[in-house]
Amino acid sequence: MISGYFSATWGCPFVWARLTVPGRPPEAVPFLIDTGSATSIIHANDARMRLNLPISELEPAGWLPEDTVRRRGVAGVALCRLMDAALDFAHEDGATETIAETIELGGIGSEGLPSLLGWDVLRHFRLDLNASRGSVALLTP
Amino acid sequence: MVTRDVSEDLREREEAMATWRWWEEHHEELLAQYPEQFVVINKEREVIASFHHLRDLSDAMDAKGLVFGKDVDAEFITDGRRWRL
Repeated sequence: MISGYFSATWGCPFVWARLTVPGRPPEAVPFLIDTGSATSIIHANDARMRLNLPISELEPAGWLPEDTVRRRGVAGVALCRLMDAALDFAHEDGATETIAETIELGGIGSEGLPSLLGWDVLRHFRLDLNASRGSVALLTP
Repeated sequence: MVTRDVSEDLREREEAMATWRWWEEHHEELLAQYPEQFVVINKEREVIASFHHLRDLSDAMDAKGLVFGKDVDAEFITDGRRWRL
């Protein structure tokens, strides 16, 4: 079982993962469990402040067209850059579960947003979210 | 699923979560003082700076040669419940 928590700041369920992206050491990142998102996205705050990506890498103008996708959400349209990533989740028994996926990197315009864990990763788990108890668990399907 | 020595992973995760819990526990007082701002703390968890934009925060840290996660930690302080993600 992988445990998460409900954030007081966001009022939403979060889970931590150790995220590895090309050229960077692994870093712990909190992800909002977003069942409304098809894909997982690292937004600008975490990209800069946790992964230590330079701010220049968050400029969509510098992204290759073949790596750039348009995403439409509640707040409008945003450009994201495709990025290979490995997410390590720590089980309560000490085991680590690693999921490798092509996820997305948000541009500088995504500052302020938490990173999102979408169905590209969530499909590997069974979700147990209980806001009244404040419990969040990612379980084996 | 793979099983390996995860003691270092767990230590890093615990450290990251302890800092995250500090942000969560101090959220209300920080929100009152620094709404919609990026707040920077040092290793002693003292607020040393705040910025309205990530770019300004990034430029300031680069100018001082500070590394996120090593020298400082930073969070965007917001009433996230009002956001529409």
